[in-house]
Amino acid sequence: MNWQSSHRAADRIAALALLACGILAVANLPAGQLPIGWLLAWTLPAMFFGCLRRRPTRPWLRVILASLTQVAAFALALEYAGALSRPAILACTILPPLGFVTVRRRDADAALGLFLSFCVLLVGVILGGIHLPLLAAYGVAACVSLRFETHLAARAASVGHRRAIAAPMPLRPVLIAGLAIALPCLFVAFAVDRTLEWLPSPLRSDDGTVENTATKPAGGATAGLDDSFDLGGGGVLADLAGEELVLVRTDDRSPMPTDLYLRSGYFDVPEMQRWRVGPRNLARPTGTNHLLGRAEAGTPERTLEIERFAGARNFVFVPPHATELRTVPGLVVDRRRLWVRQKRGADQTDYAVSYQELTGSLRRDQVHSRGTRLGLLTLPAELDRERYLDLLDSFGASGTTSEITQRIAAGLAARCRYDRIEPTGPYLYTIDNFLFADGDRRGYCMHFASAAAIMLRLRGIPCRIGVGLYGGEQDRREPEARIYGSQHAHAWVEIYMQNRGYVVFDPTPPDERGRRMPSELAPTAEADDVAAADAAGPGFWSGLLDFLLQPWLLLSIIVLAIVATLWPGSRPAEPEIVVPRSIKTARRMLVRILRALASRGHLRQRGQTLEQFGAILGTHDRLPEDVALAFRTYQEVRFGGYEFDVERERQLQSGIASALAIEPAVIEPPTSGSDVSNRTTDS
Amino acid sequence: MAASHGSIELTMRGRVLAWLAGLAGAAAWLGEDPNARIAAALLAAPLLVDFVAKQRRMHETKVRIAPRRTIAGAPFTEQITVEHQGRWPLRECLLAEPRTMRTEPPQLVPVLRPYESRRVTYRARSHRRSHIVERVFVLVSSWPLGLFRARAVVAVAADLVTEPARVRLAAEILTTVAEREAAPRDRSKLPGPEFHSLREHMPEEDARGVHALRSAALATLVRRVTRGRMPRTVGIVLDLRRPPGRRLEGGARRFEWSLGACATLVTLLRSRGAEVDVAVIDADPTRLLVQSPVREVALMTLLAEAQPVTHQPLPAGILESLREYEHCYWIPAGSFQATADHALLPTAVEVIGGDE
Repeated sequence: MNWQSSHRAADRIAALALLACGILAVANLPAGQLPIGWLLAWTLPAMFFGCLRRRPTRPWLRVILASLTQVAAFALALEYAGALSRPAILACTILPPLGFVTVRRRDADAALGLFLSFCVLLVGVILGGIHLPLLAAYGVAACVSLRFETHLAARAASVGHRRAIAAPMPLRPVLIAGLAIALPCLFVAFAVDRTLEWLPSPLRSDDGTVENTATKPAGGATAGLDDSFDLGGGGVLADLAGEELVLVRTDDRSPMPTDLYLRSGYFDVPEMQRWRVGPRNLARPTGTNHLLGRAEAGTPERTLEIERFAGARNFVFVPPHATELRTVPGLVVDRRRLWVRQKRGADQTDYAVSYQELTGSLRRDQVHSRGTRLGLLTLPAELDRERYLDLLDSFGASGTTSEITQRIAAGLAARCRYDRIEPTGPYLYTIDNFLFADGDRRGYCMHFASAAAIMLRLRGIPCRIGVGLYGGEQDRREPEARIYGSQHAHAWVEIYMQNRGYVVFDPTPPDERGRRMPSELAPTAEADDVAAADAAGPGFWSGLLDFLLQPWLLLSIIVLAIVATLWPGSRPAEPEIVVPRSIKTARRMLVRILRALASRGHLRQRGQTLEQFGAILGTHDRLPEDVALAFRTYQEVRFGGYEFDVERERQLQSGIASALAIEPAVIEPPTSGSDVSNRTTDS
Repeated sequence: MAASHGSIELTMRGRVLAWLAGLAGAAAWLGEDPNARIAAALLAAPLLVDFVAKQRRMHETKVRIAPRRTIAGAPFTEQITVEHQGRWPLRECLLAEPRTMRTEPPQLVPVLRPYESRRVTYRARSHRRSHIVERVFVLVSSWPLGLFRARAVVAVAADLVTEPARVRLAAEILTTVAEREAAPRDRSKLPGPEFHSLREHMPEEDARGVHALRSAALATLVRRVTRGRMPRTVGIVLDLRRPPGRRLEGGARRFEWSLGACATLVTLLRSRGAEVDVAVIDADPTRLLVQSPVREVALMTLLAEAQPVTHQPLPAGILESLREYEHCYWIPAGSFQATADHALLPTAVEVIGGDE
């Protein structure tokens, strides 16, 4: 393989890696929001222009041609694939330059192409969630692309104009290095992600909430619990990674109800695009037990024992009609609004909560009169009331509170479809798209709850949105307990009723509330196997894995790697020249000869070779034949590769004897400028 | 001697990535946004890996190089031995010598394991007349991902003598001097140089001057010395003094040209068998009788180190020995014409580069 062909091959691999990055990034975009027709319309015209060998030279002509092609592609896509949502349009604006630079591939295009593909990947993460295999594949492709681009750049810099005489480049080591580097890159990315998640944010207040509630949900562990309620944020479902949050069991070890709502927060101030938490009357009660409400006589109280895991450490989950909280230190409470949170930093993981299961229909006269004062009837200023009232009329939502809630739930279930992606459509606000968009109207619990709450308020029913956990799964080790993870985050409506407090009304279709949960409570065979395996070797490997994935440990590994890199360590040991044992013997004998000569006035100078020394002795006739032979023998053994056999040993012994037999020389003081050979004279 | 040192710097690509990673990391930390966190992680990971995997201790790389003589502006092929002393193999390392590789691309050193040495050959060209005793090499490596660049400066004690660039001299400069030479009694009627004697052939001399028959007879290489119309010894006065009141920095082009003219003249005269007695007038006036290749090398080294000096009167006795020669050149390298000093020489003086 000559230089030209190896360069072409390397260039081709780099182009393929870059193309793979682009394809993986585009594949990560949610297909539901970005139909394939639109994807082609955004990318193909730019790729076509990138492929062109001879583009129009005039810039204005290029702009006109590109614009016309793009507009034609858009028209076709609009005709066959329908309208595109606003976030999808924003996401797609990166695609034309990505397609162009990926295909064109000039000097700086690789870096730009990688950057653009990364932007597309991130947009895909924001819109559609995290797909770990895709992310990992993208990381590998990006590493290979970077490796080859760096290699090509180094080659190009070194070759200059002398390409003809450049040596061919080996491609396999470059490819292996690129693949090998991808692994630590993925590990470091994971470690950085975990570390950033672990680092306490300065914006997080003492009570555990993020001050800026307008931002997207914070962290996978808290998403959907109470940090924010952003209808257009797109981040809530993306964060439902299945992290375990709480384990709940009854105090008498009876089976847990499967339809229990566990509220961790609420939102009562509506806006069109999000809900906020209104003013609160916070108090810090002393002690670890706290009364939340008055128990209704005649209804038995049940007690739940709740064990919180790391992701839900500061949240306090309470079921509806909770009466008392026990063993929760550092509480921050608003009694009227039933807002309970634990002070940040408290290390108590378990607590107990008592509640009553109150049943009965919702009658209009039972609606609490103080709802207005608590701000539970306010509506967004931008709300198009007429349209919503028309919709309510079309639902037939009138009569008692119970009837209104039933009609609203039925109307929403008929009009909108439950899906785990955000509503799209031509309207500015997500909630309008959810309710009024043409064609497929879809959304999830946040949108159902938000729409229902606004409609209820339009009918004068005070309500708010409660968020927390719902459903849960049967725990493998404790079948009577239920475990709730971040995937069980849920939103519902709480109507403020006279004498009953906040009553749950869930407008989300019942079949969809726990869709991700196993439908049957009985554990499957596979689950049994896992449970058996857990019981046999309880959590050693999982415990080890948990330990290895601790953020502080990952951070320590990264820091240690950097410190080890920067540490001014010792040099590697220089390779030793192995000297055979026989040579050591020969050297010892040579030393004896030289000592004998030195004692007789013939000192070998530093740096003088044996040949030079012998020549000087020879010029003064002070070199016996045996000594000369011994010198020669030693040189043969030392440098010539000859064996130090008996014959050579005898020659060296003769040399020693001859050297000892030389008569001492008279030493004269050396004169300035004289040669070394002049230092010794004959006696 | 300058100390060898190394550094690691961000490339442009790495700088952009670092900024983006920093922004995303700050956003993730402040806002606890999971998407920002993922972005920060994906952006920071290659940076960290590249930093940790970066080549280190490159400045401890040993470079062995032989002394070299060259002519300013002349290309030459340099051979050096590079021995890596770091802990990890040295990969994709570009080697360059800024002084001699200004117009040449850097050389890509093959992969070097610890304590492995390789011979590297590269094209070089020293553009400026100089005599340096230390050569500086720059090693650069962007391995593996090109987000950081490891750079090391390695200083090596090695002689590099860059002689003045040779210049074109007018033909009359040589012929005029030759014409003045008295014709020998037995000169032939043919023009051009004539046979004068035989002498030992030096290995570096042009082989065309070897007398084949005599060499065969004597069993050693001898060459003919043609003297004829070329004088036996020619004097050259190289005047490095600047005119009174002029700055030392001025007249650099003329200075360089004059040194080149001197070098060219000496080479030409020596190639024609003449001996050259050069008197260099500078702060410490020097006289050098160039009659062997060794002396010629010494003169060229002197020319490589020459610098203009401030004006000073001509030291007494410096031109004393030049009086016995019939032919003398005067090269006013420092732009001082010194017409009065020419009178100190009894013979006619040929001024080279006298006119501005």
